[in-house]
Amino acid sequence: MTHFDPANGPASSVSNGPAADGIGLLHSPWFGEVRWDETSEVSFPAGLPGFDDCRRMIAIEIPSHRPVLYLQSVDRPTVCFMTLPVQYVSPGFTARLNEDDAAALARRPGELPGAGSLLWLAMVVPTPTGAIANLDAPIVVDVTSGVGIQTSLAVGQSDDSTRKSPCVEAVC
Amino acid sequence: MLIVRRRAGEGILIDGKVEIVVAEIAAGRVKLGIRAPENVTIERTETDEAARRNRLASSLIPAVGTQGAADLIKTFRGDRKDEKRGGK
Repeated sequence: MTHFDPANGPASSVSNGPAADGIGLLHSPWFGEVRWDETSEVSFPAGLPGFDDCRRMIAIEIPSHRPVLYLQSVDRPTVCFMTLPVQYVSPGFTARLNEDDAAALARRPGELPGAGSLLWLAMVVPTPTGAIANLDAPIVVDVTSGVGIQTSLAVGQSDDSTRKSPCVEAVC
Repeated sequence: MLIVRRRAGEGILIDGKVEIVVAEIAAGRVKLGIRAPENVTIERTETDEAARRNRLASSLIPAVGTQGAADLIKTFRGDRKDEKRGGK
């Protein structure tokens, strides 16, 4: 995970340069110049729905914004998603990895949020009245392997209360 | 919607180009095999909705910046406290 200090990060151009000695470098319009250890990248082998070309992301944490975790695309520096841990959005949230998602992460089907090294994140989506956290399609990152997927939960994969209220209203 | 009954191993052909075969049926789930030309996009129905929400999500920070986005979450925290007070 890359920590970022807003005081030292002026917005600038949008291009990513070559890495040196395993250190990546990109110029994000949102964080300015970002350097990170390439071993800490999150790889999305299938990209994300609607962003098939975004296969490399870095997780950026701003201490004063916790528990927000920003997913900044390396492949397309203008693309950045704001995410929250699913358990923060909905403390009772439970869901299980289906067979396909488990295979993509080289994990066992049925693993729950909070199990092992899996980090379950909900993307924050703006609405006309504020924002919602998308619990229907959480991002699951295996922190150990650095591989991530975005899963689409089918009925029965998450608990009933989540299905009745798949998107938690954040702001009204 | 056209509804067709098929058994495992049977399939349907669409427009002579796309073949869908029922590979396996088990425990309320069906495994499908699909043969189609390379230029045909195939995705799960729910993936299309996820793509729509992802495109919306990517517009949040350009619209309000990281600080503005973080401020949304502060309000969200307040909402959660209210929820608990409401006994939900």
